[in-house]
Amino acid sequence: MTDLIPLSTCLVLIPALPLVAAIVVAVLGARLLKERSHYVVVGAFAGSFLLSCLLLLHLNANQAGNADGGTERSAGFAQVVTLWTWAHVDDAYEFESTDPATMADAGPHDFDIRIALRADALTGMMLAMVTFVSTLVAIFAAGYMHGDRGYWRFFSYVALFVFSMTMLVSVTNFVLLFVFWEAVGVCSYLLIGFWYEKPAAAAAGMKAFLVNRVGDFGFALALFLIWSTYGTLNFHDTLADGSPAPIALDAAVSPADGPAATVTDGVVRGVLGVRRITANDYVGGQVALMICLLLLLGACGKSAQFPLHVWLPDAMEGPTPVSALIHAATMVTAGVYMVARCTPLFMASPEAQLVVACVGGFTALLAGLIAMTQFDLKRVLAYSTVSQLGYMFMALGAGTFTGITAGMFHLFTHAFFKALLFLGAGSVMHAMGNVIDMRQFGGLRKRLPITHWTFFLGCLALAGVPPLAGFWSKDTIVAAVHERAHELEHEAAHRHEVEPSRPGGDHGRPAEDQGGGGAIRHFAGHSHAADGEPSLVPVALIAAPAAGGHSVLESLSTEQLHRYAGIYQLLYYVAMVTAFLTAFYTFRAFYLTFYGEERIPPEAEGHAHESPPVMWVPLAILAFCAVFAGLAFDRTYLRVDATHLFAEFLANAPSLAAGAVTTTKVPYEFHLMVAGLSSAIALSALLIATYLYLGGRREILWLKSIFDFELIAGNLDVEAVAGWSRVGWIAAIHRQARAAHLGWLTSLVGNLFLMAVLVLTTPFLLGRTLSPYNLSQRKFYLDEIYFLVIILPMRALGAVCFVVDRWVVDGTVNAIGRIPPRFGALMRPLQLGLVQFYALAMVLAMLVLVAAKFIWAAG
Amino acid sequence: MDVSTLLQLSVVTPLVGAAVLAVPGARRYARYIALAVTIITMTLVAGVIVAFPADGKTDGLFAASETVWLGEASGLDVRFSLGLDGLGIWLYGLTALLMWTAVLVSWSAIRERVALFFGMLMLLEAGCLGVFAARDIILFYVFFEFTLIPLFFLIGIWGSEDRRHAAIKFFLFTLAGSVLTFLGLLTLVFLGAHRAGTTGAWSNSPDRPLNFSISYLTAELQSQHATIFTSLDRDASDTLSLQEVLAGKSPVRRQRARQVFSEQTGIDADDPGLQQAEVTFEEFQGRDAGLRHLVFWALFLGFAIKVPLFPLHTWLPLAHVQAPTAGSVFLAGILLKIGTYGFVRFSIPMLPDAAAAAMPILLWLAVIGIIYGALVALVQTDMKRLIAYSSVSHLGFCMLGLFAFNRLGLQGGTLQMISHGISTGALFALIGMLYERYHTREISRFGGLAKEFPWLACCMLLFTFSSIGLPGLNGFVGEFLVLLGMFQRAWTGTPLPLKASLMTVAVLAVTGVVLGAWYMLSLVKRVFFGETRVPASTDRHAGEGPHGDLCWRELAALAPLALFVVWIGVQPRFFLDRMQPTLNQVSDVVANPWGPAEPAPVAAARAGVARRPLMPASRPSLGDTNLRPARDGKESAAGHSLVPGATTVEVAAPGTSDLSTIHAPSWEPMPRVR
Repeated sequence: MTDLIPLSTCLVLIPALPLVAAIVVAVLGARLLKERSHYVVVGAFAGSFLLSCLLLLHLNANQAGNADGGTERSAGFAQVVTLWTWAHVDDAYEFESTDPATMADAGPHDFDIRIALRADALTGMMLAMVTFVSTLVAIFAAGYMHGDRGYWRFFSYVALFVFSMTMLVSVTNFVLLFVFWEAVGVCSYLLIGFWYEKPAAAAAGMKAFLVNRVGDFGFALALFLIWSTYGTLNFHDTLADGSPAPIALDAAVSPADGPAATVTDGVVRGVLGVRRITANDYVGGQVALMICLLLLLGACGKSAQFPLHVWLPDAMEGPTPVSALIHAATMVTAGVYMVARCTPLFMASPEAQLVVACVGGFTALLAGLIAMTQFDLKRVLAYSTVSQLGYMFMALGAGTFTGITAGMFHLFTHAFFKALLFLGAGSVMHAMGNVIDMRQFGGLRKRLPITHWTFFLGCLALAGVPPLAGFWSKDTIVAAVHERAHELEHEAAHRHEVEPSRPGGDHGRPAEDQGGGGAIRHFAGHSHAADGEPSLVPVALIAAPAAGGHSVLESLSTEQLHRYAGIYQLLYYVAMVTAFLTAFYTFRAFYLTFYGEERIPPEAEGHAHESPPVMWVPLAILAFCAVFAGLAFDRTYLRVDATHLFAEFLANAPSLAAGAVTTTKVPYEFHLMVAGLSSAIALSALLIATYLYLGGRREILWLKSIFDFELIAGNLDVEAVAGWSRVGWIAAIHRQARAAHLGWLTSLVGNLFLMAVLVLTTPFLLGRTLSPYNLSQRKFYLDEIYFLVIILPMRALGAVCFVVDRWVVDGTVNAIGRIPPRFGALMRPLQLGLVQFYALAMVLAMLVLVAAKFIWAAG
Repeated sequence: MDVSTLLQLSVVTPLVGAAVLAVPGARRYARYIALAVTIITMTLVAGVIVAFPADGKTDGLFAASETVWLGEASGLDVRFSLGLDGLGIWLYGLTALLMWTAVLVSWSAIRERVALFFGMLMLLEAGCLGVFAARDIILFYVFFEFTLIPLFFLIGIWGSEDRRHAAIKFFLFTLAGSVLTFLGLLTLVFLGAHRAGTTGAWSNSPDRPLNFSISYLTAELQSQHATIFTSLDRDASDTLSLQEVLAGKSPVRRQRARQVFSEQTGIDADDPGLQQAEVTFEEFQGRDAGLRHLVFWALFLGFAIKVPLFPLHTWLPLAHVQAPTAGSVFLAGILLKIGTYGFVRFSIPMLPDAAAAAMPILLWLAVIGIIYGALVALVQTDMKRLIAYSSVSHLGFCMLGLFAFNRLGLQGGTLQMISHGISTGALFALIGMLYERYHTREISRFGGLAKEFPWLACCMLLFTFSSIGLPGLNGFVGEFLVLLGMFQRAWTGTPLPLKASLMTVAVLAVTGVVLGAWYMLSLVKRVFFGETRVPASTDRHAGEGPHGDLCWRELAALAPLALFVVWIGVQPRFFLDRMQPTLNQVSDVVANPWGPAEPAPVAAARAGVARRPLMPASRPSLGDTNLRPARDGKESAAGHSLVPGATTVEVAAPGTSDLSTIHAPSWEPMPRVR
């Protein structure tokens, strides 16, 4: 089977098929294909999916072969397929180095960017996930979009998106990553604004694009810094002429000769190339921190993390299949993918990893809180997506092998159950005549039985109820964060044991990191294995032996270790709380939609029935995956042969197979304590939601009144106070006073009174505006804050600049322009036209000249 | 046919076309004649471009041809000299391409004095083609000024309500700058003639006529520069910066120059060659340095107004708003590029030291232009003015790249010129099409046009994306390379005092990318999305112009531009490769504006890494003679006493030192590059 189509062909065809489909539909869609456009697209997606599976087989086969063969693991590492050269500038970068470690890279570097793809485990997994979900979504959309005016346009955009997304995960340099990073953003823009007649949709599309641009600003800065630091933008190692270097792993993974031997002459080491990763030649200190934070900003934009998460909920204006495909399952995971891909860069900066984790944790909590009070079913799911992406970032920020694979695993399982939930919401919307406000419908379980059951499974998975998919992945994340905190504490304690006499301040910080730009040194032989602490033994399962990498924790002081450990511990609690929130809002939405008395909005008249098979079959398939994806890949629960198939597969990606990350590798194990705790939390939240929302709507009765300060602020109302002036006896007094020419007095008293009331009630009003309920309902007013803090000042600045432009800049120009005419005007009176005057002037001038001559001569 | 003949013909054809249009009988067919001439010119231009070597490597000039204009007998060797290199080739092509668009968008929009209009357009095209192909300073300047006249009439006759004011302002503003530019260009010629060995002033003698050739002057002035600076730059123990040397405040440096030269060449200190060197050096750093700075700023004024660089941009929005569509297309597409072209053609390669000194200022002006243009564009209510301000922003990116002084920046800046010409030209054409239908450009009067005008909306979206630098389309490539170059400059090739300043410039420039997306997308959103809203047509010509969605003619006007938008985005190498050798020559002259950046030990350790010489040696290298420690001798002793510890030159083994590849400066006048 694998011999049939070689790996490189697979890799090229996977994005090529959707691209061809997009072009075919764009060209022929309007006239020829029309309502048949989806055949082309679904066919192409399915083909891509099959090829992705084939690619996985290829990768797996290579890895299996490698397990026997020892070091010969070339295909498990990146295999690069070059299509053509995008841009080439000779000797664009003069790499100067005084550092013996990077001396090998010194010399002129070409700027050489090729359209090149590479396959490794990370790519293979992403490709399979993306093409699988998009195939199902395309099938669903064929039913959902039926009869839309822009049917072909929709499928053309979606195919273009899948092309961009598959390219995004397969390209092998930062420039192309950025190209397709923005390309998926454009597809998202086009699809959110698909119904461009709706002003809200057009605005949401633009908002998404612009917020993403802010992220891309960071990403672009990161690329420029990487170029300025490493002199290359390729992931893979290249030869001097720009072609991919052979992987030569024998040299690369053997640590015996030291890092210098890993660098073959004439090879430019890619930023994420095998040689550099193995030698762990990454710049540390401030530069690393800056690069990582900027990359994170980019990731925050695409993956909707705080503070750039605001676009995703608005993006729900797009057609629901788009929400499922782009804004839940695939595109928004691009940030996670990118951070995982850049693991070696992040390993060089534990501070940056901490920030990643914090951003993730904060976003997870924030989005969870907002999701609790939303009434738009799709927005609940959107915030839930933001929250789950936050989990993924938290996992990546844990910075350990387990953490990163856990993040990717959650990405993988989340794609299934979130796509399922969104498509379920789409199914509801389809039946309800495009109404998505949960206050307008309810009790739909009888009308939409299949949607109800599949949605239920999706909810269970999202809530993290064992043994569904979400449970396994979320559990690994929580455990990874927990473990990280422990590890840091342990490291600190260990230092204390080894060298108790030395003060903690600068301990362990390598000298070359002080300057902020030096490369991280290799701590040969450093290993925790001697400690006898099993969870800290670096297990060289597949990857380079421990000596190849080093523990990045070396660069942290003991104090920092303690502080970081505390923060990770805090994040662990945040993860637990968020797990509670997740289960709660998920089931809140579920009960509001499917339970209670049956209510159907007027828009749905006549078609409030279950969707056609073309829509529910994808739901069923996704539900199946949502149930079993975790069990199938996470085998840590087995007593014998406990392993994490998913993590083990990913471990073959260069970013995760070598370098510093391998030192954080621990044996796969099932954390019973964490698992039990998180399941208990999920179940308790589920029960609370059941109590509150099943049957009567208790939320309205008491929950809201508590969290909305209704008792305090309910009776104090400025309008009511202002209305007093119309109360009979007050008005009568006022009339009397006016008659006695004392109207000013009563007006004054009244106004003073009104002002007093205003001043007194302001705190209460403010309190009510900022009540927990309102904060959550109004999304913590972030949109408003951004408007006030960014958009408005920018517009004002623009207006000021325009005024300056017109009156100052152009005014100066005009003023200068007026000088010659003015000067001429001064001279004009001299031209009298009187001949006598001219004669007089001539004589006078001559006299003056002669006099001057005399004086000159005399002087 | 010979390529050089093709080139000549391509410049002459539009002139012939204009002449034909002047024939009274031809007026009825003015449009068709104009189209025919455009197509012929495009074919000729395409012929030239196809023949241009794919790697851009031409020995000397491509398609060069020249005829004596003012003979040597007059002492002024002015020639009608045409030729192309990697810098001019794409701008030359762009001119012909945009002419196609300009003619087609004017097809039904121009109803009065049609023949005159197209005649002016032809003249404009001839002028622009000539500017990019001219290889003689006088010829360049003739074309440079010549472009103003037809455009003046285009704006003044066929413009909107305020056309006279706009035309006069445009004309006077640009003329004021270019008069100084002319002085600057002439001074360049004198500087070129003023060379070591020709002591004394230039005399108007027939045997040594003044040389106006751009190629000659570039080579000559660069070699004057290299003569002095290679000998100083490569001094490993040098701790003084180039700018200090230039400031002429250090007699010690002068001393050093003589000493280094003496050591390198083994010529005695009394040698007449060495004395000559000193004369040259003194002239160069003393009187001439000041003069060169002056010339740079004179050139700057003319070119910067054309670009237009903040704060000299105010003529642009006015001219754009008032100009007819074809005028706007040409103005934005080509005429602005003449300014940036001038910087790369004259200012940077001919006055490298002055350019280096001015670089931080220009970078700041560029970045202010980027942000300022974008902010002002954000609050515009007139579509054309919005695009005009966006041009200020985009041209800021061009300037940023050019003045990053490295290969990436220069190539990016040059590509950005082409990209901006295509996308902004197309945007103006699109707005013109909309104007033709509704006779208004007020953004607030439109809404939701995408529903009725799907093709118009589609094209608008494509060119908007191209304009905001969307990856995969043309705008991205230039912008990306420019910023990459700028970052490389700020982070790796800048001395400490300037570093923070340049880093700020680099980071601020990137914000322009975000702002650019903001104003362009909100334009698209307000005009094309949302609920449909169109203004009632009030024009007296209502009913005559096109209605509904774009017609075939209009699509044909945009199609080639769209093709290039995608082509440049997907395969920029095709375009970069052809411009690369020329631009590399330019960037290598200024690559180290602050002298050597690397400390000596590294240079010594980097054995085996061949470096490119700054300048091709014009005679066999004498550089194998290694530097020796300062020996006895009056001058070197003086050097020692003045700069303690600074004059000890390290001994380097043959072939291992960087210093060994220094090319000895040539003291003879360069052979004329003709």
